Amino acid sequence: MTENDIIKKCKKGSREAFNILFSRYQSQVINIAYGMLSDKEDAYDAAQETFVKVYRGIGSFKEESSFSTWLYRITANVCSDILRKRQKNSNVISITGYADENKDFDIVDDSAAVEEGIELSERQAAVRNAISGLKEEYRLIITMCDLQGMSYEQISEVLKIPPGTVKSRLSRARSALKKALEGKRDLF
Amino acid sequence: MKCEEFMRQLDNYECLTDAQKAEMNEHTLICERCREELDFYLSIVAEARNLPPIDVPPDFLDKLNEKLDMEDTAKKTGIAYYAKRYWKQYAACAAGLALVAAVAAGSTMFMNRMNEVVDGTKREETVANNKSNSNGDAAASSAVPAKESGSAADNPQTDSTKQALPKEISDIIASPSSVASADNRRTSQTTNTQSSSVFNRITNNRDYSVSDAAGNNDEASNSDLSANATTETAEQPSFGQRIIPEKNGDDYGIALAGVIDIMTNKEEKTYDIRPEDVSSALRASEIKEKYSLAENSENIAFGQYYIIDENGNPVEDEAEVPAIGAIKVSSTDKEKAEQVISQYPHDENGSVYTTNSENLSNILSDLSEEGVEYTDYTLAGSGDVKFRIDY
Repeated sequence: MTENDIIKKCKKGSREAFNILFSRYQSQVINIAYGMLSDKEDAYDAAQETFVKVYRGIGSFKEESSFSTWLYRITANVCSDILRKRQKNSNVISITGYADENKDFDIVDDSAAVEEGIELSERQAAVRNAISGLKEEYRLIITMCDLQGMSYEQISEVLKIPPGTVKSRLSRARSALKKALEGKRDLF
Repeated sequence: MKCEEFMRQLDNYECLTDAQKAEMNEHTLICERCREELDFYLSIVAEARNLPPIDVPPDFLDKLNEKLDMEDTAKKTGIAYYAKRYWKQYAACAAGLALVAAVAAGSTMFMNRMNEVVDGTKREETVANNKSNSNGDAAASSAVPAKESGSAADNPQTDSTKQALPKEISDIIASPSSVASADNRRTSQTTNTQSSSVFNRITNNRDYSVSDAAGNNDEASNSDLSANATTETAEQPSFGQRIIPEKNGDDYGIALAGVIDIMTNKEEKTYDIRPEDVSSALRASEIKEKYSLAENSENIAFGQYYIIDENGNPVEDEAEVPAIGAIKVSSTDKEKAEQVISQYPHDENGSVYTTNSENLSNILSDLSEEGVEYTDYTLAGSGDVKFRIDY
C-alpha cells in the first residue's frame, strides 16, 4: 500500500491506517522532538501530541506537500510551543528579549543535558550537549539536516523558507556549534 | 587562498563547489592552523550525523491509541470533547451555564404554557424535543425540567436545581434584574433550553467551515419553543478551524469557543460576559472568580469579546502587548522586503505585521542576505511581535 493510499484511508477514519502511518514515522518524529527539546520524556510527549494533531487534522492535509513535510512542520510547531511554555515557566527574565534571540548558544552543563539511558562517547555527549545549548532555530536546522539527514529542499518546505536561507542558517548554526565546542577541542 | 577567506568559507563547507573545496584543501597543505580548523569542523559534523537516535518506547503506539480512543469518545459526545480540552474554563463557566439553563427553563415553561393555550399539542412536541436534545449538555439537561409543571415552585426538579446553584446565582434568579433579563431573552432571541450549547451562539463565518454540532434537532426545537424565535444553526467548530463568535451586544448567555489553529498551535478561546454579571448582580471580583479572569480585569464589559491570551485570561496585560516596531527600509527595496516577509507565517492588519520573534529574527537575517538595508529593530518580548515596514 502506498503512502497516498494509507492517507486516503486515514481520511476515511481508519485507525489501522493511522497506526501504519504512525509506525512509519514515530522514530523520526521522536528524534526531531528530542533534537529540539533535549529531553526524552518531553520528546515522547511532543511526538504523542504531534500524532494526535495529525489524527485530528488529517482532513485538512491537502496533499500539496508530502505527508512527511506536513508532519515535520507540525512536529516543529509542537516543539516550539513546548519551548515557549518552558521559557514562560522559567525564571529567567530577559529585558529585551532580543539579546537572547541573538545569542547563538548557551553554555550547557554536560551532566545536565546528557541523555538518559543512551550510551554516548565523550565526543558524542559533547556534541549532543552543544546542540542542546544552541538557539532554537539552529537546533532545529541541525536536527533536521545532520541528525535526520533531510535535504535542504525538504527542510525548506517544512520551515517554509527558501533553500538559500536553509543553507545560510545551517552555516550559522554550524558556526555556533563549533564555537560552543571550542572548549572541548581536545576531544576532536 | 588566504586564511581569512578559508575561515569564512569553512562554516559553509558542505555547500561549496568541488573546486572551492579543492582550493581549501590545497590551502590546508600549507597552513596547519587552517587544517586543524577544517578537521575540527568535519569531526563535529560527522559526530552530529552519527549521534544515535533515541529509541521509541515499546508502549508508544498503545499510549497514543489510548489518547485517540479518548478523542473519538469525546468527539462523539460533542461538547465533552471541548470540555476535556478546556475543563478549567468550562468549570469556571459551569455556574453561568447552570444559570442560563435554569432561567431558560422558566422561559420554556412560559412558552409551553403559551403554546398550550394556542395549541394543546404543541406542548407535547416541545417536551419531546427537549428530551431528545438533553444529551448534548449535561449541565443544562440536569437543570431543566423534563416535563412542564405549572410553575417553578411547583416543580420539584426546578427546586432542586435552584438548591444546587451557588447562592449568588440563586440570588440573581430571584432578583428583579434577572427577571428583566429573562423577559428580554424571551422576547428578543432564540431560547434553546436544553440544547443551549455553548456553541449555539457561534455563527459560521463564511471564511471558515464549521462542522455540525451535537444538537442536530436544535432548529426543530427552536421553532417549537417560540413563535418569536429566530432560528440559529447550532454549529460546533471542528479542530483546526477558526471561528468568529457572533458579536451581538444584547445577546444573552455565555458564548465559549475553543479553537486551535493546527499550523500555528495557537489556542484561542473567546466568550462573552453575560449582561447580568456586569450589571448589578455580580461584582467585578465575583466575575473574576467566576470566569477565572486576571487581577486587573476590571474593564470587562458586556458585549465585548476577549481573546484569551497567553496568561489564560482575556486581558491584554501591558507586558503582553508587544510594541509595534518599525523596520526602515529603502523604498527601492520594498518588493524584496515584502517578499521576504511573505515567506514566514504572519498576520497582517493594515500595515502592521504580527509574527513570532523567531520568524522576525529570520526575516531580519533574510533581509540582510537579500542585501536589504534596514534599521535595527528591538523586540519588545519573546512572544508575538508586531512591526511595520517604513519606506
